[in-house]
Amino acid sequence: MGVCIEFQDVSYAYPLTKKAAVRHLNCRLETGKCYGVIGPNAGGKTTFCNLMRGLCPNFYGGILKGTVLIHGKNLLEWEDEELSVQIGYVFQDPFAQVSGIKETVFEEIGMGLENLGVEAEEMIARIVEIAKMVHVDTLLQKNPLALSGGQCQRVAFASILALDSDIIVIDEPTSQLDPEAGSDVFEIIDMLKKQGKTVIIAEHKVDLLAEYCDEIIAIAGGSIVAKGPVKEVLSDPVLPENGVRIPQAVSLARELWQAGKPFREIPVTMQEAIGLIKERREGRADGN
Amino acid sequence: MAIEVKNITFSYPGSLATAVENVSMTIEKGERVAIIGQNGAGKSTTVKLMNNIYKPSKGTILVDGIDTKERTTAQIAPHVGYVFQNPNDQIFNDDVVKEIEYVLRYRKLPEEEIRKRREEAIDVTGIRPYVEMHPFDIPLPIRKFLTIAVVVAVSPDYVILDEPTAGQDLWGCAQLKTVMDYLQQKGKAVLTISHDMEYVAENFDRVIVMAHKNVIADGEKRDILYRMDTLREAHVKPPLSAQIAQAVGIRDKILNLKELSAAIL
Amino acid sequence: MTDQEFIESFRHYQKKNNWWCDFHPVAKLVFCLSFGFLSLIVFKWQVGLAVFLLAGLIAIRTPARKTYFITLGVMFVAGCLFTVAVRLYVHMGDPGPVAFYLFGKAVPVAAVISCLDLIFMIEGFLGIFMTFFLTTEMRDLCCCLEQVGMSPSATFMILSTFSGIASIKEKLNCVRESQRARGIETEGSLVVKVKSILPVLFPVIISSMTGVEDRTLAMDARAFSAKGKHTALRRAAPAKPVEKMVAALAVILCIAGSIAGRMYL
Repeated sequence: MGVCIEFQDVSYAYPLTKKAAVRHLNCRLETGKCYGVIGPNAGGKTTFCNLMRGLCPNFYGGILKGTVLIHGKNLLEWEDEELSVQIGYVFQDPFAQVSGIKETVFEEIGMGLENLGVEAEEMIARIVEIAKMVHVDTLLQKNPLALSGGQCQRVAFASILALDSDIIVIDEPTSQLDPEAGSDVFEIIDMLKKQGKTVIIAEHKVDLLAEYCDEIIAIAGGSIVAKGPVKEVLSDPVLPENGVRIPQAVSLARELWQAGKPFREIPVTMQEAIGLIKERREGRADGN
Repeated sequence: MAIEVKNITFSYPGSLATAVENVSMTIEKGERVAIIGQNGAGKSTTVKLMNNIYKPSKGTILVDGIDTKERTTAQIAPHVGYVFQNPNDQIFNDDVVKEIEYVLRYRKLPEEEIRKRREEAIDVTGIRPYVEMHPFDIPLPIRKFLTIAVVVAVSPDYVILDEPTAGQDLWGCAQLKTVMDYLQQKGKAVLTISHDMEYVAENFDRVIVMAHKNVIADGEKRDILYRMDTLREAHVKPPLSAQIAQAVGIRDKILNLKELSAAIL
Repeated sequence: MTDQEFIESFRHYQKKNNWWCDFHPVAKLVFCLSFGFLSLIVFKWQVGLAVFLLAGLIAIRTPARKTYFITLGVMFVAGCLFTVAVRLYVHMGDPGPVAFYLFGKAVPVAAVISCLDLIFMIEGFLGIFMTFFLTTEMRDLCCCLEQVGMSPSATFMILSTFSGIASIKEKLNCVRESQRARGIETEGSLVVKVKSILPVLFPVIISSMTGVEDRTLAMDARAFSAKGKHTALRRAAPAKPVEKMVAALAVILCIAGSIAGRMYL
């Protein structure tokens, strides 16, 4: 699989700050994979996302060292408008993402398409399709400014999906949602993955990431502390050492390990944990 | 001493649909209660009515025996503090210290008292490193602690936290526990709306389940979090450890990882 | 409207089924501007009255008639009566033919006429502009302006200015709710209201302005800066020949009227 984004020893500091927000980032993101970005708040997750989209340094200013390659081309050489089509970005604060100039959710979702010059009939079809997918089809006539946090987040999500970018970066999409809606978001991400899109998602809900992601990048204190396949990274003791949240299945395994009766392998999802516990209980039943 | 909610119904101004219907619950002083349920179940509306931001269309709410209908919001607020879900909706000063002191000054407390309360609120909520910053430059999850600090400084008998764990990392969750323990030790009642079942199972004694604009269950957490039909009706899942325990056939009502690992050993 | 009908409405030109509401926005704007300026330039009660009556005649045939007459009535009473009082007071006792006596002082005819001039100029000007704003959606106007060659950035600026005003109002409501929730009296007499709102007014406006940064990012994420022609989801009917003609006639009338009015009135 091809590499779509590559960080080569990237450090970045926001303007007027003494400390770099991220330091010496090195990683390669492959096309079609789903990446979970985890770590404490203010640890550099959002900056990492901003760098991919070019907001650092194009929008915020500041000092960038090292190279970010998007599809093999240096970030700084990309035209901003091209990048905005290549990479869809859903921000953390849902309310900051509504354009404020569209009076209905329907038009809000269509706005990006208008900017790309898509013809009306195709636009309508696409909005209807996306709205269904993200479950905002009952809100189409509402004013985007009058939505609840959760609804607003989904509309923002829909507005970006409408653009049909190949790479989608999502910063904490579920913090405003209830668990059911949160699972919906991950179902959508799964769908995007099946369409061959590359998804990068910064999120605190590691248990969900463990189920849906291919790889995990853990960022703490401005550095990547671990990266790689989900199972490998999430069970790495370096995460709790750096204040990074770990899945409950892993916590359970650690408890058992401390009690001197470890699992034969470390589970990261609930299903794996259930499997291992069942196995042990049956084993014990057989033994006795 | 309690907040008594009696058969309240309410619809927002300009809306035809009701937001809550015939809701009743009693929150005793010193209790730790969590309200759970799907978005739109009426959780936030219920607590806003307790804080007297709105007045019920039908039914009554008594705060320590005082009918909220006969008082203004500002008169009830010193007794019932409410931390909004979105901190941006709550902050309106351009300075952290001003923000915390705002109400205290409004109430003309002595300077010494203001200083003491402010310092205590800053320490308990762990926002000391951010005191010099403009409130809107503070990262969002920590901004929430600023709004908590404001309420801690006011020191009402009933503290309502709306979705305190949303977007919080390990630091935030630990800090939240510090705040809760502080409030508990001061004898305050803490009422929380939360989707985070691990947080609910860990920090609360009583759980109220809301669905379709009403209360559908109210009781001890271990009992409530194992009523599967009720939870399903409210579109809520029990804590992960409880899900695992049930899936592997452990009979005990497990609520956290410690209990789960003990049961497995 | 059902969702299906709503979606269907985007497949056709937007229609309100009222001749004036459906009048081409740019032609309508030209028409209203012409008469507004006519009333302003000539500054005589005869012309002002004529424009005012014309505006009323148009307004009465649109669904916005109720809002139109109520708003205009309020403006008339509040604004104009105040100006009249000031004017009369200033000119009281001036030499010239006397119209009537007020509190024992002579009010000259010239003063009365100058009052009428001012009143009807304002009423005519406001009236014709209200018939425009009450019956035209800004988004349709902007869409049409884009069609005649205005850049999307310029129309975005117009639209966001309008929504910015609305958002400050919204934000203020939010802040007031937050103040009440904290125990600051915002209800009651005007003094209480003003006292509560003044200290937060400045930060609210500032924070609304910082929202611009977010807005810019959000727009950027929607490929707003994409090169090439933008399309529009809402379709506005192109101007009919008769609409163009009406607009052109209005311009001619305005120019001719202004010259004639200045010369003969």
